[in-house]
Amino acid sequence: MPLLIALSILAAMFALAAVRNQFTGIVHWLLDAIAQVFEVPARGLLHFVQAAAGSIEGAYEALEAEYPDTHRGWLVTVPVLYAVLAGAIIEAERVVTSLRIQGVLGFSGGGSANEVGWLTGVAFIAVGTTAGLVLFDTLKLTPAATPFHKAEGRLQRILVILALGGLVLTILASGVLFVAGQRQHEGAATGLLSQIFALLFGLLIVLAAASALAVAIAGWHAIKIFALTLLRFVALAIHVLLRLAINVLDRTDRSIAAGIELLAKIGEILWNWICRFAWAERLQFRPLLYDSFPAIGSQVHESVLPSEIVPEQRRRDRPTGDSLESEGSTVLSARNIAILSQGSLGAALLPALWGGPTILAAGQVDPDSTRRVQQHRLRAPKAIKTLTPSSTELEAALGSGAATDTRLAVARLVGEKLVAAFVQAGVRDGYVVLVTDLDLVDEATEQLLRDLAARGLKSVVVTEEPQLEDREQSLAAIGRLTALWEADAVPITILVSPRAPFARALGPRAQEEHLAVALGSLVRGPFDLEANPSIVKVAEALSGSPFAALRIATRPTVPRKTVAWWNTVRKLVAAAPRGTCDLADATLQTARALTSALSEGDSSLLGDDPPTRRLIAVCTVPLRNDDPKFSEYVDAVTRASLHQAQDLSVTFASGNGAGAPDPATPYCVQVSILHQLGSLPTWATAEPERPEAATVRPRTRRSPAKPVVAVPAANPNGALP
Amino acid sequence: MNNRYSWEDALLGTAIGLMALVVVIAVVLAAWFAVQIAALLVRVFAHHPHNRALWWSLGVVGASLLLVAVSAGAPAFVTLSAIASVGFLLVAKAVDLYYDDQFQREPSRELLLHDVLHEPWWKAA
Repeated sequence: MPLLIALSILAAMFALAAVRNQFTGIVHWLLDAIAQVFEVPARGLLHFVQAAAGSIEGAYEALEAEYPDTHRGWLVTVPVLYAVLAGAIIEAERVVTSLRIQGVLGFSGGGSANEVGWLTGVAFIAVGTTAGLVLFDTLKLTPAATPFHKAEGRLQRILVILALGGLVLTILASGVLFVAGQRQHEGAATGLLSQIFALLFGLLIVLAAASALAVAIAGWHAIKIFALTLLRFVALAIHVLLRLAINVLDRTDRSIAAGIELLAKIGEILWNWICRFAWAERLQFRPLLYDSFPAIGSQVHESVLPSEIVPEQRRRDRPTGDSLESEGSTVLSARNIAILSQGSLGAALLPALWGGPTILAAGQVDPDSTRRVQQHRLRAPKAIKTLTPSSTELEAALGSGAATDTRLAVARLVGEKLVAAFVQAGVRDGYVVLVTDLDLVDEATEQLLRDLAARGLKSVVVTEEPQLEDREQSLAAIGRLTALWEADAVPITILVSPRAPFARALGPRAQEEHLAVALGSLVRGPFDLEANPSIVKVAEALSGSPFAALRIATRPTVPRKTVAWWNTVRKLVAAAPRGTCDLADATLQTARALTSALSEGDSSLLGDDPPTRRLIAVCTVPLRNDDPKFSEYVDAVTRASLHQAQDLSVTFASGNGAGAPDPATPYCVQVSILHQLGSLPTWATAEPERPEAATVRPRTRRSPAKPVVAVPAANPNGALP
Repeated sequence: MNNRYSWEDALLGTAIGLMALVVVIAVVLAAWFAVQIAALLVRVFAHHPHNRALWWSLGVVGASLLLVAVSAGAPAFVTLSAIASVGFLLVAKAVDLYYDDQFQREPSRELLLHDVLHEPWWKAA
């Protein structure tokens, strides 16, 4: 008996596994048929919504052509108001006229006294309102857009007289009505007064209805907009409800399919296992294969994207979002920056620059330091691509004969991977920040930068004086960078030195930390504040000279109000205070840091003279960019900086400055000033027989920027998949 | 008589409508806070995976929940697990603050409304 039961269960499982597809298919077919009932009207409504959006936009354009200086709201509101008034008056007139005709013909019945009274009251108010509106429109006292508003000269005078007459008649009619009502209350005869009121009211009603109708007919575009908007809203609401129903059906279908799959799984596994034996093959047992069904209502879901209910005209007018320049304002697409690094400076700065929200790709050009960086526990989101070539890629490149030298092969691979990453993300205006030791600016690096420039990608280079001075190597590198500047591949090279006054005062490590904050602020600036230029725009603003220098100063700033319970925690773990920004102190400390960076010799990262030429200051403040105080800080510092120096532009970034640890406050503002370098430092100066590298030469050859890397149409916003 | 009933019905309808509105707002706020708490925990564990205070407080929460399960929901252990959970959240917030090098945003009704209605709920994560 137990064997029989076990065999029955096994048979049931096999049977379920065998008919699973059919069973799921039947359920899917049934639910899909029901969904079709919803899907057809849902798609029809969507078409109507799209068509209505286009018609509304067309009607708006027609109205705006007629009344170019009037706000859209008034263009629609006023004609609709006149139409409502006309409707009320006409309805009242219809009822009253119907009653009078009944009276004349001797019929009884008709509307109740209450209904007639109510309608007469409404009509009376509508008549008065219409007369007043016409008067004010004609005198141009309203922001409305009606034919009355455009009346001039004689026509205007006639209209004013008519509107005033209408108002006077309304007041007279209300006076007559009041007196007649009083006399009726006292039991006196009201025959003559009633006749006068009827006459006045009749006149008024015709006048007001004609005026209101005239505006309503003249502004039929507005009535159309109103009606279509109303209908579109209702259609959209019904469409959303239908989509919800389709979604429910789809989820039901999936749930049932999942339940059946669960029950049939054991039978399927057993059967497919049996089918692997030779005897099963001889008996022509076939493994179970299942179809997958498309989601119910998938077509209607695919078609309902938010962009589809935006009018075609508006879609055309939208900025693409991935262009640096759009009608004068800077529009940066996210993740269009690649950080490349090589050498000790690159290895020191890469961890600080990698992992921000703005960077698409990052990598080491130098394979020797790849391992060190990979061991650095970089917490890079998966969306950030690494450009560091793997050993397999490197071996393949060397084996294929594409490059004979390892460094050339690495540079070529990095370039290819970078361009591929930009193309994949749909970036149109990408750029590169290369952080490198000067002695590593060799033929391979130059080739990489030229290759990138050929694809429309400009690079900003940050480089450091070699620790061991090798004049020839330095001069060769400086010559290459100057040539790259002349070819418009590198708009600027920022020079720093480990023997600069800043490094002597605070140490080389502190200099690297400050430099990382300065570069990071330049890179992320446009993402913190829309008005900030990108690092390439900053570089181009300074590109009258191929080289630039940095001056940095920091100041601690204290919190205004600490987090309520944080003081208790501080006592336990000896932490620094945490709280909200004191705007006045942050502004004051920024102004002081700006003064220090401009005037103090210790602020220089190169050892140059105080700057006199084009200056760009980056203020890094520990305020979140979505904090309302951030914009107040920007305004205050911009005002304060106006008196600091001529030819000074200020940009802003959200982040903590790299100040020395301070137990009183962990918050620090940092001001980094980037400025043109008039003459090169002595370590980069050529011997007398090579004077061309010692001074900054005027630019002799600048090729226009190439159109850019390819832009796939499928992903125009530059976001990574 | 009919008028009185209809007036009462209208009043009842308004009261129910207001209550429904309050419930909707409370649900939205509760969901927002739940997401913020989840985002906080994900963020601190992702950014500071070796912080011992975090793991200890998580361990205490786990142990207290185990005790609740073993004791079939003894009130004392339920209270303990509630306290441990609140403590865990406080520790997570403290760790987040400790390593945060930016000023805190001053809480205000306008910011809360803005964050709930206009910002992505997982933005901070």
